[in-house]
Amino acid sequence: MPSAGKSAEEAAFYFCEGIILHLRHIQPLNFLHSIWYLQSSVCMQSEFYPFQSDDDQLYFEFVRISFERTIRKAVLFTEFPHSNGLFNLALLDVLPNGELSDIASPENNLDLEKAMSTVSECLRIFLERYPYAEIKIQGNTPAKSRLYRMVLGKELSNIQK
Amino acid sequence: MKTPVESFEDRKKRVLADPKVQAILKEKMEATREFIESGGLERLRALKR
Repeated sequence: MPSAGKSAEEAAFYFCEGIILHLRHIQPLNFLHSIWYLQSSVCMQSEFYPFQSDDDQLYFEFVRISFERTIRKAVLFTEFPHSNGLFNLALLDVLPNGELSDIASPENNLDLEKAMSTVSECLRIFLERYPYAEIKIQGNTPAKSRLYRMVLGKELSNIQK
Repeated sequence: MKTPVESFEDRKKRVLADPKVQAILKEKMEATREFIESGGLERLRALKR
């Protein structure tokens, strides 16, 4: 994980290569052209939303449900050209009218921790498929970058245990 | 009249082909290209070893 003293650009990189991963409480279910991941009732880890992935484990979706609204989220992993295994993680809202947005403000949602736990589970599944991949996670605002670093950093440290 | 339900696969195709998503990804790729080409990524990997 990035440490203090590195530049902001460097600190935005989370290197996950070599993490030992194991299936903890995920039950994958093949369904048509996608795979569903559901949390079992005996889970003692952070709660997360059920999520769906494609066969390549490069595209994931889940639906956030809070008192205020319901939002479909898409998690995309895209490899950087000439990077030898560095992937970008993009988190998008698929709006009810079909449009896409990357400007969601997480401050207004009460389920932030659950949503971030779900993203970290997507990360874990991705890393199982691509164990030598490295992932760049950077918000489109400094506040989001700080949030991702804080919340996902904690979740990723749980993954490494 | 019922609204047709979009399948996961169709939605994935639509999301990946969306010009806005393409623009976001292109911007991310461009922002990181210089970092990779200047050797920043390799330096960071060396630090991690």
